[in-house]
Amino acid sequence: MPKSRESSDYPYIILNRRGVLKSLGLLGLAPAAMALTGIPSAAFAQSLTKDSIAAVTGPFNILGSQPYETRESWPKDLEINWAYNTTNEEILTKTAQPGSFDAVIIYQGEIDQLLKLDRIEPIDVSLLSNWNQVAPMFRDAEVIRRGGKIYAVPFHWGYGYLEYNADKVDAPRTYQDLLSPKLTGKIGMPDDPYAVITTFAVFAGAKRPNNLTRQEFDATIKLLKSFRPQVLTIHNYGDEIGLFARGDIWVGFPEYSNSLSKSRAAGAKNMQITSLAAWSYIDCFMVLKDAVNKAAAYKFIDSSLATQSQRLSTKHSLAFPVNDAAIDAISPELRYESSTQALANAPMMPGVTVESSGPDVPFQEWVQAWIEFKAT
Amino acid sequence: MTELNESFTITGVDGSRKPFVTLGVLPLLVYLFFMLAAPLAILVVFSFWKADFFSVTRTFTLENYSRLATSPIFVSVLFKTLSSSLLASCIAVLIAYAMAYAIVFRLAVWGPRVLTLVMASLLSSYVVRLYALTTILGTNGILNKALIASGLVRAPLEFLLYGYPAIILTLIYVYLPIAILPIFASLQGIDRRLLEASRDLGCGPWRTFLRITLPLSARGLRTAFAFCFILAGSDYVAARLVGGMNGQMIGSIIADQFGGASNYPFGAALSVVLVAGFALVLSGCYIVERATAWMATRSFWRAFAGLRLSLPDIPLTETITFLGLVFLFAPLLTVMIFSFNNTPNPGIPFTGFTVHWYVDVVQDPGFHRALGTSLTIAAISVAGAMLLGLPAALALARRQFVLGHFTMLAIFAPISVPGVVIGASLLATFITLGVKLGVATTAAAHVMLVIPFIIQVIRARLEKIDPRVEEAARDLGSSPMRVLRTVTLPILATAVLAAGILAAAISLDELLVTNFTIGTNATVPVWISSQMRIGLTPALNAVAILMLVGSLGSIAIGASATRRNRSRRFAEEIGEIKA
Repeated sequence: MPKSRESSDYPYIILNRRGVLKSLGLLGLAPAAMALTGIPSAAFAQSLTKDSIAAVTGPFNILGSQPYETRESWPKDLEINWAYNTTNEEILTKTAQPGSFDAVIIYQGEIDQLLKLDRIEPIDVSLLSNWNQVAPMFRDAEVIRRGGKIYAVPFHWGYGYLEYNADKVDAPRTYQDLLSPKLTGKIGMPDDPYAVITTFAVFAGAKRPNNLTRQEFDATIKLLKSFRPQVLTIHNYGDEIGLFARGDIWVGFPEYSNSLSKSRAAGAKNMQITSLAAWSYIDCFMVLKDAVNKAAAYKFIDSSLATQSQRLSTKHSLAFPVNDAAIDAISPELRYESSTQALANAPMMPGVTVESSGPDVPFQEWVQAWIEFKAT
Repeated sequence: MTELNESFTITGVDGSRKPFVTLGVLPLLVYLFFMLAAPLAILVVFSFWKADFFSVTRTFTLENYSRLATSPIFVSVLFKTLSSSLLASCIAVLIAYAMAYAIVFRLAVWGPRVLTLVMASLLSSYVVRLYALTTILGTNGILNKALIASGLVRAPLEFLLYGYPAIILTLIYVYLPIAILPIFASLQGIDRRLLEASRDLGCGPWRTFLRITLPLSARGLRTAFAFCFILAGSDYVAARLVGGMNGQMIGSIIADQFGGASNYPFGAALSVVLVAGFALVLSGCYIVERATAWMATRSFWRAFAGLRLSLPDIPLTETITFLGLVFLFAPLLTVMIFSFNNTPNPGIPFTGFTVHWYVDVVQDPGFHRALGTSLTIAAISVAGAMLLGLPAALALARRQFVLGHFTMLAIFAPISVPGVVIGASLLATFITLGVKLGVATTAAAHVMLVIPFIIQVIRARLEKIDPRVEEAARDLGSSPMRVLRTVTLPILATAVLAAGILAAAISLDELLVTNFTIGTNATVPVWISSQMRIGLTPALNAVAILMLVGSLGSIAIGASATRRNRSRRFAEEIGEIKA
């Protein structure tokens, strides 16, 4: 478990400066002092307690995807400013300016990238009253930890499934079924190198689909390239709903939780899913190192884990809750008994390394391979 | 600018040029230097450095360029980008010429109305209109259903979407209105007496067209082609949406390098090569144009131009105009119809009528916030662009000076650089300088993006004003400021209004640069693209229709605010974008 903010993990000099700044802050001079010293205001947020988190008010800037913007569940005493990312990578560009955001919501695979850029810090979950409401499968997951410290608080989860139109095609049971001539030019894939290459790594038989050796990576990309004739288009997330409804594609993978019900509602009434090559992701809160209102970040995160909040955000986003008490809010066609049971068919992934000196192929190479695949 | 207008400009040169030019142009050039030239220069330097994770290592290298040159994939995508934008621009310019010709010479009182309709097609969300095209062209899309129902085909035509034809068609659709405007402006500037004189001297319509109309509108044609070619070459969203596995353009690869690939130097090198590709193709076109002009003096061409063709009397340009309007408005009509669709899909099947998508949008606090931000940015950027653009347009129209051509190039530079490159370079610059991202940074970027359009509209109007009117006011004792206040600005009022509305429309629909500079805020296009992550719904169609209605409402208010000859004049002003 991470240590308290008052632990010796934090440089002594910062504590001293913070003390000075606190005194100045009482005199209303803090902003001027910070501007002069260049010390980010995040220094104020180091000494958090449950009480200070409960009492915090003021602005809170969060960056996340729109489906999770559930205003009804927001703490009323925060002035919440929600900014949107449309791709995973935008998290990296949009948090480049220190102090812009207090927290972000992104899948656990981005931890390494944000850590490499020194943007996030460990989260002290002892400050979250609702932490114990998170299902143990997520709370104890290794994929949210680095070096034993928690960097990401699970918010929602989902698994990438294979979706097909049962009016047009039988359920694909193996990878070979997807190569049927009947499916040539009838398959769609999202424009997401992480998701697609992970799925093809599973198809290629990689034991750790996010941690590919050079040989495994090459085999995976070769398999992906051989699959090209089957693919009609590489779409943005959400576009598959129209593609299925119009009959342009019959199979899509990996697709996520909101896709099935929306595709059915849009007119592709006999859409079905299989767990072929399925794997899971967790969309998490991460707290930024330069957060201006870190207490507000903790307050917001804590509030989002409560059962009622999870129900609301599950209904709004159609993603699965990490609090099992909110399972009843999942749409009937995807509802499960417990997250343990649901996760059995779709293992969690840790994310892809960004270190180029290690044994695994780094994420940057995944993206370049994906770009070349698309452009070939 | 027509030859006739150029003579006005020359007449207007007087002895007080230096302060006039300095005050008019210098602030704009300084602004463009800091907002565009400096960030882009940094980007060029980046292209010679090595990549690190979302940063660069300052070690000189040519490997980014050698990687590009030795990769058949990147070279072929570059070729595909340039060739498809070249083909789309050629077709768009031909159709645009016919439509502009009809608007100016054939449609009489309907001309300005048609031009207003062409402009209106631009005033809705670009992305939503593109999605509407997929509803029309898809395998079970509206067009295929209509073709099958009419018995013309038995099975859906799958090539309509997801391939080169779809890419070309979509690029023509997007950039046709932009091509029409400069051609319209150049045709509008032709002195009708020249055409009359040609006919009086015995030339037939064909010969008059080849010898008078076409040469005098060549400048507009050239501008239209350059606009179309550059904008289409930078556009990767349209191709990606409709091109299927062929839809990857170089802009998309550039965007990826500044995104997940985290290879800024290679992205910078690709950008430099793309801009160089634009320059190369446009230079080639210039050579072809000069060669054609030279050939025009040869005997073969003279004989061809002198042919007395008895063309059948068919309303060719009018027919093309009608079909062009159908082409431009079919997606808009689709957007409108499916904004009332009862399912969460803004396309076929249409299962029932509802207005709840409009209610949802109007009640959505996220949309309110985004709309407020968009309107604020549009207002600031229009005001800022006017402040910089109006004096510059005055200087450019009324004076000839050493840096005149350079100034024009600088003004149009923002159009010739892909939006994602401008966005990424501005982001790096703002962060380096510690400027907080948000409304102000986005408005500053938008000022740069709308200035070319503002200057062109106002300058075109200024060139039509006889400078002797202003001269007369000065002779009668008015000070330069009084002349400006009581003569020039009142005459320019409609042009300023038209330019302002055009600029606001561009600002309201801008996404590529905004996404980098908006910080913790969101504009309507950012909100729309975020919404699309969970699927395009009729709510987004509703947003597009509301934007269209709002823009048209603004135009109507603006037009009614102008006193004299208002609808005709306003339609003319808004179209007067030319180089």
